[in-house]
Amino acid sequence: MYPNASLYGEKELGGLHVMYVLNDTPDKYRLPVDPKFPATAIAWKDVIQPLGWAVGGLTILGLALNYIIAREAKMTKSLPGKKENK
Amino acid sequence: MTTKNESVIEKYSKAGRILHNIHTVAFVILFLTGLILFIPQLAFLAQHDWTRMIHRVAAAIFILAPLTYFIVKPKAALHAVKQAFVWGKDDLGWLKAAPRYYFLSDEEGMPPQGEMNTGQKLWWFIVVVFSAVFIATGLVMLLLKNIAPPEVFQWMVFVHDVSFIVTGAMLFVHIYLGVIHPLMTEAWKAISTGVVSAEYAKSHHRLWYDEKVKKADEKGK
Repeated sequence: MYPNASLYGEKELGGLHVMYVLNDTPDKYRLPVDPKFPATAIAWKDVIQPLGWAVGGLTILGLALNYIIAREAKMTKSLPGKKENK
Repeated sequence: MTTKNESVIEKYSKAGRILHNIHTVAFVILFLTGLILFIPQLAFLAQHDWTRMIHRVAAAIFILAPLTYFIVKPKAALHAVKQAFVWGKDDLGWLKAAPRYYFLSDEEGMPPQGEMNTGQKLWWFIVVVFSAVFIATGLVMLLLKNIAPPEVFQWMVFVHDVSFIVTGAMLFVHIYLGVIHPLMTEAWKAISTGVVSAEYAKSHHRLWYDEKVKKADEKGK
């Protein structure tokens, strides 16, 4: 009776939490046949987010490391920031 | 001969410092109200419109402050923007010598610097370029929200976020070098009072110092 009947929402985008029993193919219901995540959503979640944490974290770590080393070096070199008056 | 005998030299004009401080405050507010969108756990703060309103008000200040400066001090503004794009082989020398200097206090191999050293210029370049990117992408998001195709809008968010990461990280470096780094003894003084000691100018900005002395000498004659 319904040769094209289909189940929509089971596999699309890894499962939609809602399933539709359709009498015909999804496109007849104006549903996207093969929906995809937008590239920007993937770029944001998998690139921008981790990149932001990595860059921010490494920067602060690097600055802290620099402070420890530079302070030590300055003390042993007797204020080179102020010397060299020629 | 005046400059030689005076112990201080003007590094930043009053108008320049006011612009710097207004722009900084605006940027920090933009940074924080943007950061809560970047950290999913804090995103609930944005569900009422007020953080987004604050973001927009700060954005308006972020745009209007440099524009005002351009109108009031067109010569100084143009001179400053130009400096961001003038690069030479001394800059390469600075980049090579910088790690030993900033970590080990080793001044050897550090080429004499102009009004801005290479590192300051790099930051300044980032400020100029990414401010433009921030403003362009932000305006598209604000004004063309319902007009631009969703893909365009989403890529604007993406570029806005990349700018946020670059400038945010570099802002930490900028504040660190200006306020905390053991060798930058007078950077904070320069931006808060406008002047540095002749001694500091000589050791940190030799080319600029020499130029100032020469100009002062010519005036004195």
